[in-house]
Amino acid sequence: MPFPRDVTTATMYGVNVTPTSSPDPTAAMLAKAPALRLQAVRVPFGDPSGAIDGLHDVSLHVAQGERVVLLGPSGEGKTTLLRAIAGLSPIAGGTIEVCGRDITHVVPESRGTVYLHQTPVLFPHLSVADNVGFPLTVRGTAKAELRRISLQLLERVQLAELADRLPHTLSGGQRHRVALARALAAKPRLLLLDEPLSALDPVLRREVREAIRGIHDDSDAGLLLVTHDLEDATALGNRIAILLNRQIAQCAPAAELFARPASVDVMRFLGLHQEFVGTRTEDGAFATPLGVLRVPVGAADSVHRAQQVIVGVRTDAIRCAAVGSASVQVTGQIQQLRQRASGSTASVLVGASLIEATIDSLDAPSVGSHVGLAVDARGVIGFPGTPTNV
Amino acid sequence: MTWRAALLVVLTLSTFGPFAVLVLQSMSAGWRWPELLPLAYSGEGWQRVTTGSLGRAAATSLWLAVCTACAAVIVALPIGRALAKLRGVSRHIAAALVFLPVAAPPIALGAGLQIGTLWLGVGGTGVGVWIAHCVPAIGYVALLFLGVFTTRDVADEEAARTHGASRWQTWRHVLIPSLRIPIVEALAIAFLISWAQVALTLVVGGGAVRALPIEVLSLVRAGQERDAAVGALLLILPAVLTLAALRTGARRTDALPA
Repeated sequence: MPFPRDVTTATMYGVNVTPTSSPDPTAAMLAKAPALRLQAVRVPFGDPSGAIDGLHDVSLHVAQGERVVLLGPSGEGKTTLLRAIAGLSPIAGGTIEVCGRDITHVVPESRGTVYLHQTPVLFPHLSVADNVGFPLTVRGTAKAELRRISLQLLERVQLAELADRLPHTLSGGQRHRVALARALAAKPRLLLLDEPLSALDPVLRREVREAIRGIHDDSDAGLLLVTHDLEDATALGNRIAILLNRQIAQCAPAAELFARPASVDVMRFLGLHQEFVGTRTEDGAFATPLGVLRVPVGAADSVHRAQQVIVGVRTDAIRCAAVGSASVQVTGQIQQLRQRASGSTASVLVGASLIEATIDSLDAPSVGSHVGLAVDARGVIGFPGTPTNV
Repeated sequence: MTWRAALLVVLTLSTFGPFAVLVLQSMSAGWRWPELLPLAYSGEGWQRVTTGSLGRAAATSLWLAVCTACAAVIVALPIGRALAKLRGVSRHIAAALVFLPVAAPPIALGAGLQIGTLWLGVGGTGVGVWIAHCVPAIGYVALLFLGVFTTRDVADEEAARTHGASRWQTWRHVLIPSLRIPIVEALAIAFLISWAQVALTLVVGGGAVRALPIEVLSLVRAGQERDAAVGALLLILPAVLTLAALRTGARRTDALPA
């Protein structure tokens, strides 16, 4: 049975299209269900029998209208997971639900999902308008209606004037926008974007990022987007799901994820923290090369009981300050300066430890000078562990 | 004369010589040894294409070749696609099976097919010959499509499926249009295989199916050189046209330099 795609007709197009019948109870139920729910999904790599290691016990949900970014190292299985959700790769176990409907064994065309490849795949023999109208063509929409809707969708991505061009005449950014418009024409319940921003120059990256956000903001479809770029993830995701060791290690809004990574692995993958060995002091704090730090209350109980922990401190929570300032915890000597467009840092030698600290780029200290380091306690987190883990 | 010029002359003579002789022979009104050129010319040989057995034979060959080409492409396209999806030993075995009718001598293949067509009750008929022609044609064309599908990116098919197209709609709206050039090439190859087929037509047709190559063979054996030359040129015509069309198509798609 094909997926009921017409529930959100009005919001998907945002123009002149209204449901012709009164809302039915099924539609109301679907509207409440998450756009995507994965429960203990196992996806083999290459071998459908599952004999070869693949994704295991992947559970995740994406609410309707929500953008979730799937972030993880290369080769971790992000694309494989997306393809499995789209029905393009077999799964070895678990269930996939889209808007409350189990689509685990449903053919790709009836899942209510649209999968966009990393490089936009446009049909070379069809005009831009016909490409956008493709999902309507296969549903038997009349030509005049198809043309009208295609032009409306192209209008939304500012490409209506290119409607009669062939895909090979378009620029990279235009191709991406046409692919997005075509995806909307399919009226998906869930949009799956596979690294749409990789291999794009910065200008094009911004253009495509804006196009994705603009198009999705008017839609109540869920969006699951794969990337390996933290900046893209932060810019696009309402939540970020970290795929590590073939599982979802954490899924949270960016601010929460950066402040409270769920594990050392997540913290290391994000690369925002510096790691130190912390040894318990008598008053329950931890002695580190950055001085005595208190691990926030949010950290696991085991951290508070441990004699030694791994202390993670966000680099942007370590600031260079004048020696003698009240907030300074330790002092050291600047070994190297790293000027960046934003967030310039200095490598500061404190005892035997080299610590990266943020500096005021407009009033940067010089190499060799002595500075104090102040730590913002909100950027500190602790994990149970031994020095060998650090 | 340099050795390169000599080679060029040899190549030109070997390539065009036989055809030049056929053209002259087909228009001659008497050409006897040791005359270098015909003593007189006439269009009578070509007029007999429309009135004599050559015309009927050409028509027979035409329908056989057209039907063979269509059937071969329809059958070989999914075979080639299926073969391309196989991996490892099974792919080699399947490809070898497809290649067998291509590699086997036509006369041996014909002997086997004759029995089969007789069992089917179509021995000595046009349908029987058509079936026989399809066997090597499907083999050739399936191998062609195997190459096409082996290197083809399936991303457009996947895109079509996730945008709501069924398997059949994906074939119709995406796959077949994107394979337009290989399909035309396959049609041309299968057409030519059937068009030039002698052994299978002779063995399976049992002399009752008078396709053009059989007719030309008869004329040669009967010493009717002018009519045989006309028939031979008719046989060459599709090959020349196909070559020209494929080259034009290849140039248009930048597969060949202008």
